[in-house]
Amino acid sequence: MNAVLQPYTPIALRNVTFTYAGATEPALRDVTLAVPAGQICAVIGRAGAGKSTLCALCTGFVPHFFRGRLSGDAVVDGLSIASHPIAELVRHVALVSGNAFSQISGARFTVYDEVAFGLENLGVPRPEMIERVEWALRALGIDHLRDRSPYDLSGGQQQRIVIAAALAMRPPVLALDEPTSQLDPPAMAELADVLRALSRQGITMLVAEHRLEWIADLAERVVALDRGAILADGAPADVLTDPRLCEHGIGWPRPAQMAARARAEGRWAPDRPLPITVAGLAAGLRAAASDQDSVNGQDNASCLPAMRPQNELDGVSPIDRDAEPIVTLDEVRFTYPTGVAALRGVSLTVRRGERIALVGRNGAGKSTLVRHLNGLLRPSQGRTLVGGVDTRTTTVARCARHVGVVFQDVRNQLFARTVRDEIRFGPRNLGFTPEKVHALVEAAIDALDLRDVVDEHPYDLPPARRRLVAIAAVLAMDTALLVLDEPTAGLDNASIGLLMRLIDDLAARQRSVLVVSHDLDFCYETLDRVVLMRDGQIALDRRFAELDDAEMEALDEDVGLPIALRLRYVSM
Amino acid sequence: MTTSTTSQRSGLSSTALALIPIAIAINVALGQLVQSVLKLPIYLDSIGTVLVGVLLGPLAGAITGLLANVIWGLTLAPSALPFAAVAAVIGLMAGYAGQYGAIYSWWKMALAGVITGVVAAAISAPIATYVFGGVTGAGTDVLVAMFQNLGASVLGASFMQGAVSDPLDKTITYLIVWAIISALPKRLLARFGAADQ
Amino acid sequence: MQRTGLFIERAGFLQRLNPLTKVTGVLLLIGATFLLPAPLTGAALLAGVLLPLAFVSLIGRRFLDILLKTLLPALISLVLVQGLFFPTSDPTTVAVGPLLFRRAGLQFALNTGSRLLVVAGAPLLLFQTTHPGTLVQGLIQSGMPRSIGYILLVALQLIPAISERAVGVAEAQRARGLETEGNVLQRIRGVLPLISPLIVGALVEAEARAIAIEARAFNAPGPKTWLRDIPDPRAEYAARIMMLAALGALIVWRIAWFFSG
Repeated sequence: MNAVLQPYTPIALRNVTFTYAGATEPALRDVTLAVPAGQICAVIGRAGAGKSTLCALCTGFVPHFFRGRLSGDAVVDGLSIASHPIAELVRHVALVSGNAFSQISGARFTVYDEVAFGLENLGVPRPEMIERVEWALRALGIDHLRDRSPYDLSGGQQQRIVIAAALAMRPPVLALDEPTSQLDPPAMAELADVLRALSRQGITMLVAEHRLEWIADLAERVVALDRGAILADGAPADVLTDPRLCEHGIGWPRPAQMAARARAEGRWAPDRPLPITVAGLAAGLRAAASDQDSVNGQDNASCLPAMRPQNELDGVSPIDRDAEPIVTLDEVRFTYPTGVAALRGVSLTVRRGERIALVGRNGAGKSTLVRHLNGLLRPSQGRTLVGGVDTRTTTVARCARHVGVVFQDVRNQLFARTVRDEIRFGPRNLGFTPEKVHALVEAAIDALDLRDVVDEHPYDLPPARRRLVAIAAVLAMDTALLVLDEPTAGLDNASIGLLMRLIDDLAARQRSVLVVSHDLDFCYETLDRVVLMRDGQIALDRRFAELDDAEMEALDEDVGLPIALRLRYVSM
Repeated sequence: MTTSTTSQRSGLSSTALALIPIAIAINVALGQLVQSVLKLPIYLDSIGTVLVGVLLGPLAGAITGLLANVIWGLTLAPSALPFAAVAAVIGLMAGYAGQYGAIYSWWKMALAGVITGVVAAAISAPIATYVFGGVTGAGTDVLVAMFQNLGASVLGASFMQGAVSDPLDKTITYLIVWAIISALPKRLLARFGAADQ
Repeated sequence: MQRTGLFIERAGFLQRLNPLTKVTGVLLLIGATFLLPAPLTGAALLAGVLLPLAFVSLIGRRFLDILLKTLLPALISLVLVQGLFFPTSDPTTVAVGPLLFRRAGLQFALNTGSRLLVVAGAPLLLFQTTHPGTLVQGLIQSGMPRSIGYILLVALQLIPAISERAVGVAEAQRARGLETEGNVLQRIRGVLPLISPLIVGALVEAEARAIAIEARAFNAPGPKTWLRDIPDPRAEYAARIMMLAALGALIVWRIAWFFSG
């Protein structure tokens, strides 16, 4: 690039303000942002802060698809957004969102044809089309999937197909809106590798994301948004440890939080900057420990951050064998009609007051196990007791008095006109008295901080709060066991904090919680017992505090370790 | 509120293009769900068609009905293809019901359901007569036999059979669509253009 | 249900033909069954055209299997209802065991049944030997709106996913105590909680898909190109012309016969 000329700036926004039609408050306020070529620029912020709007603006969907009032200058790859139609902008900038399934056109039957679909619509001549599709497949590392149906692939693979389809149109700019929202940790790591490789090829990226740890690893620059305005803009190490992030409810990545706590406890050098990666955290803790070692000879274990104040203070009490069992699985085997043996001899007892994490790779049998906890599936062999009753002799609706399940896809659950009606549905099904229903509903509304939106339609809320409504709706059924399937997916830090308090409160009231999650840090910080599933069997069933090295290794191999355990296990 | 580009040939917006295939899949999926989970003696296999008609107008409704039957033919039974015309008219009628504002009261929707049912019966009778000989292999064939035994022609009996069973199914379908649409969030209604009709 | 509908992947005769040729053939066959005298035409076309074609296309058994499975209830019903209750002034009856069939009714059932086998069998053969993607591309290239083709293909591929979601909705609501195994009244109460999330989810999904349609420049102005070519040899083009001419001749003959008779 000629240094004398004005350097090429793929994304150039100047004083951009945008208000959606019908809205009173602007979604973007006076945003000025210049992203240089090849940069990975992350955009963070709470739900509703304007991250998605910014992505939609840079790709022309604002204001051409989502209408509203736009002021200021938005220029992407040299084109004014306001004066070019989307059909033209797609050659210059592509939008990829986290929901890959919806972005697969569905009009083509193989990955190869799917990636070519946009090029057909643009009228690209066949030889060039083939060349571009081949390039895009290689760039995303999905060459081997070319003849498969896009719908037969995993979420992570679908995500890469969608990016390949966008890149085949050869845009130099890519806007990714919450790209990890449906990915598990290995797929997230792979996506980060792909994006880094694209950045090396000169593609400029805007990545809106709420998983700060992932951003800390990936981004070269972080922009924090708060209510549509830029709150902070700079290097990740600076922005992600900026105190204003905590003041505005965005929070810090875990390593920074843990280091800050360590600093407060004197286990982190006061002049050392806070880390945003686990490596940085480990190095800092090691340095502080060796300083102290030289002074008073403390051993390494003491530099463990006290991440679980409550649990550690409780001490490690053995599992209470006498507590009343809520659900008992006894040598349960389950084979689907397709012949897949999903459970191969599972025995598990959930007792009152327990907080359990159910973890394992995709396909290990977690979903099948969850469906046994309330009788949705009945064992092929063995038996399941819910509230002391064999699920084969009762109905799901009756099991629902003992076990409430919030499934991952909350769309399948929500149907009522208002948040309050939605929450009322479950307890009313259970036949409680009107007074009891009222009390339970109001308590659930407060527990998930939904008081300000009780009369709104669940779908008029941002997705994160929709998930909280779904949880409240099952919480109000006041079951002995609450099962949460991937409850932290799509939640910002503030909502996750709410969830942690809820689970603590339930345990204090002798209610049990079972969480299915890939978010090991959340599990470790909130729950006591970890059950690892592998190939339809329980490979490990322990309290987090009692894990030995071999068990940690097993956990690490399948699902990874929470940061706090990683610091202990990977010897320092 | 929002716009999207429109295909020149068919006059369908990208929103319609996105919704219609899902509505067709819902017709098929609900047809199965209502029977397998609830085991109720109703079909409800045109909910998607009526939904699109009411939300997006007669053209989109007719296309949904027509193509839903083509899909049915492509995937399960090509013998369903001749009835595509009936499904198209159901979508068309739903579209007109939507344009006349039937969605704002339950009894107007019920009335639209009855009318749609009668019209559907009137159109399917000649098709059933000339292609299928008045019967379809379903339980309702008993009614055809009964009406013929009472002296009706094949065409007449086929229409009377439809006039008995179709209005009921369509009225229930319209009422369900009414209940769902009147509970929809404003943001979504705005996108599908029914809010200001 | 597979995403390619009834299509069976085989390297047979019909599979090699251009989809338009097969569509024209279907039109000619259906036209012939209505224009030529039944039941002879139906029987002849089924035995002389459809079955041999199915066998040289290596799908003979699957063709007969689906054809009978989808038509058998209607055919049985046809014989029973029209055989026993056909409105006729002809008093001739045929006794089969305890049942007294009307001769005119049986004749009607035979005529209609033979025609029905061709009317359903011809498109069945088309769908079993033509990949839906190829069929739609062929139709679009000869004038069908692209949006119609888009809707067909997407709907076809979405059915498994939407059915899966319908199961997910049922699971989520039963987990909230919705009784789906109780009496009729309880089950009717379940209709809305089961259907509503599916519809609302569909509308949300449609919004996301509309964005995808725009992002793939589906409605971009200008000429389109195709990744794949569908071969269309001259001979097939000629065959199509001949089939259309035959259909035209049949119609003309039938009209002339109508006026002369």
